[in-house]
Amino acid sequence: MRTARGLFIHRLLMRAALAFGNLFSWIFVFEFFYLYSYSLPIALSRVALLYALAQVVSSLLIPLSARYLGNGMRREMVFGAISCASALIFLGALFQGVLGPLYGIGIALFAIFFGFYRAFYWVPYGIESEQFKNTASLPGEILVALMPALAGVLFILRNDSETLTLFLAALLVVFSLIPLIFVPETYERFGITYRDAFAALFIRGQRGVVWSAFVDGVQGAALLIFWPLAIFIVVGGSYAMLGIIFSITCLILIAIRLLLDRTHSQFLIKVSLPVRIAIVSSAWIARPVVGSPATAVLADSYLHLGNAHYSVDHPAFEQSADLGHYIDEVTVMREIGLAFGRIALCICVVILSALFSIPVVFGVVFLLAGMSAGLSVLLSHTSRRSI
Amino acid sequence: MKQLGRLSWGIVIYAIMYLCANGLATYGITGGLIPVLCKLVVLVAITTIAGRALTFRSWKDILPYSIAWMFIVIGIDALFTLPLAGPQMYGSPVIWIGYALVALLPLAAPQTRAFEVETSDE
Repeated sequence: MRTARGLFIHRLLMRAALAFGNLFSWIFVFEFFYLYSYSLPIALSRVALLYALAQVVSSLLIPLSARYLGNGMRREMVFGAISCASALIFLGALFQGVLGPLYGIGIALFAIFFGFYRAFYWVPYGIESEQFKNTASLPGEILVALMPALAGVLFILRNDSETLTLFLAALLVVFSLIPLIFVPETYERFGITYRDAFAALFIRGQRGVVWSAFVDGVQGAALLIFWPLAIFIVVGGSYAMLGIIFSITCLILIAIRLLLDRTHSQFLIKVSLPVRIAIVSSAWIARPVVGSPATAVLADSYLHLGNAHYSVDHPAFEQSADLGHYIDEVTVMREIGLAFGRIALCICVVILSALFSIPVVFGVVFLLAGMSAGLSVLLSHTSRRSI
Repeated sequence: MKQLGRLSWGIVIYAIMYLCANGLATYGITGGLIPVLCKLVVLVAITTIAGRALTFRSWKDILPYSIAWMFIVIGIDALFTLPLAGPQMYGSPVIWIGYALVALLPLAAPQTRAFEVETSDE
């Protein structure tokens, strides 16, 4: 039981740190690029390129990190968490002015270490997973949900809290390593070579899995990067308002989940396929008309009500195949597929930013995400039928 | 229980460093580079001993413990030294470098062992 509690406390602290720093780190980068170029499209395309760089690093390293799971999963968790803390520290150092004219290196290192984190951070699956689930608690979820608002409050107290926010998040990540002392080492075997891991993506029998992950990746990038940026622009660049909006959304999400669990609602499973596709797609297509904080909360809550997206951990602002657990070789393919989907959307954003105005870019991004959501439901339905 | 025993190295590190600082102050060695160097040598020695005592082969196994030691040292410092020295003690970079070294120096401990050791704590 101590093992499960150790893993639970580690995950809670790690998710709290990500909820505190992960959302804002990309917004800080966006604002940095905007202040540097005084152009929203240029800032947006640079953020997209940077996020794509992180995903390229991640997708290239995922098969390698899966191979090293044979040396110990806890060791990879430590390495992944340290990479995450390093990414936040590099960005914090940039805003502190420590890097001076080398700011480009600081931003690149942030993206590269973020990619390292995504590739190497696997949560052990075999360790008493049932006990791990049972130790998940409502107060913990509420704490994680409140983290963006807490970060926002920092900006009410002090205008230039970028460095403080990033360093506090990094400190929380480092602190989260301590409970890992009580988690025993586990070893997993990954039986595919580096080259075959990529070749497997193009095997006919795996196309369903890869495409499903790809469209999930498109949605993930839209939800975790471009949606917060759109809200940030809507609220006039207020970090506090952004944090409060995301905290309220997460709290509503927790309430919805509780309600659905209590009533054992199977609404989404019972409705027909076209209706389900319409629900999940409409949640995205309604987003371009969002013009105030209240409508932003409503649109986000509606998305999560309509789309039980297991690959997205919304309060922690991250997306992973099988909730970060390594299960088998298919998990690695799904992770790479997710990364490719995010890269594809980022490339679209770069091209669109060069051609159209910001509202059009966001409109097309959310349209693409809506189409991906519909496709995702369709693919999961057809794969279930084929099983 | 084994893990708690290993965590207690944090208290040992603090105690030895406290003794070292008090010993140097007793003999009037307080200013300049010499006391800093003396404390650094003692810190390197005690953190290496602590790191070796874990008998791990990889720095990734040691890091959760060394970070715990760092937080233990920060906590005891806040309890015992802060009321005497005041919050201005945190203004000195030396103290923060010291905390960082408590977390980082034990990571080199496996390099000081020439023989095969166990791979993890379970």
